[in-house]
Amino acid sequence: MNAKYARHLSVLGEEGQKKLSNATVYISRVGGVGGTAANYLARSGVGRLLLAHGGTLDAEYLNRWHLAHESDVGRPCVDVFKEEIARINSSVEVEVLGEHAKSIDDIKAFANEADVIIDAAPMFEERYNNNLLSQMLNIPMISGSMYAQEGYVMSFVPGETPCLSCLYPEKPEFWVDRHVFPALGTGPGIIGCLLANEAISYIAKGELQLKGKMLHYDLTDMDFNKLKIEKDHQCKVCSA
Amino acid sequence: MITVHLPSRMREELDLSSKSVQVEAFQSGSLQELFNCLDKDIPGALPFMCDADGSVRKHIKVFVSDEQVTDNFSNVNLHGHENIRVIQAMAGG
Ligand SMILES: [Zn+2]
Repeated sequence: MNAKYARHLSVLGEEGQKKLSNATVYISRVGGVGGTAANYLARSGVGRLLLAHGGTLDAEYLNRWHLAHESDVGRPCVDVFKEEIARINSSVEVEVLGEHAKSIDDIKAFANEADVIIDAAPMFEERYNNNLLSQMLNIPMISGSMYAQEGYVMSFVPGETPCLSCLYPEKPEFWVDRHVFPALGTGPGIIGCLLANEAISYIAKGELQLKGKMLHYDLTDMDFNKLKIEKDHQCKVCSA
Repeated sequence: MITVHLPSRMREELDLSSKSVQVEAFQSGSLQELFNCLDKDIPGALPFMCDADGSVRKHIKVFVSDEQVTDNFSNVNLHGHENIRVIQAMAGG
């Protein structure tokens, strides 16, 4: 086994590591949550990352974006991601879509070869597009999000579990742009780690620990709970 | 006694200092009765969760002892020792 992954051996096995190196992961937004996931997936030796993210880097991202540094402010985000991931692990192939997941046609064309979707966008419209993509292409989606000191992670498997729209068919009205959520860096970091771990488990061992479950936390009192979520048989996305 | 865990946004909007509350006036009964009691302790709690017609908002889910509530709140009976979690849809990253 490659020395970079030597410590994986008893956890994933050589076969699991090989599966990782052959896997493609689509990540929707590569910020505090998605960027942390991308970081750990790159270090784990995943074969290919497909990153959808638009815009340039703002200073306010620096409290939580693992892939960004002060000198990157003002640069196109996708340039920063490609450069940083190449520094972390040059074996990882990185493809970028310099846009957010706003168009279902665009992400379908971009991410159709993904083995798993990581849903980490700060806008519900993009999350609902990722959910639709997951259902259309029959690709499992691991979704993680936060607000202030609270957050959750869920794994959705088309045809098997509830989907995102089963649980939350509509967004809260106040969520009009990416500026609405308060965040320390730690919360998105936790979520990103959990997303990466779930993706690695799925790729290497075919196991999703949060299939049909929500892992919810509140760091206010370090309260972590695994909750059972239910399919909505009237869901417009997965029960149509 | 029943403990209700409240979502961050609700705590902000209703200016609450605590993450969870114990509803002392409630001994046993339905989830709806619990939330009616909660709304007396914390005015605005019920409208945060439900529309004017009483139906739960589509970005809110309630969990009783780690199980998602899918039934009408009036049909969910509580014995007085459950953990209740109100969880709002989030998208922060
Ligand atoms: Zn659904």
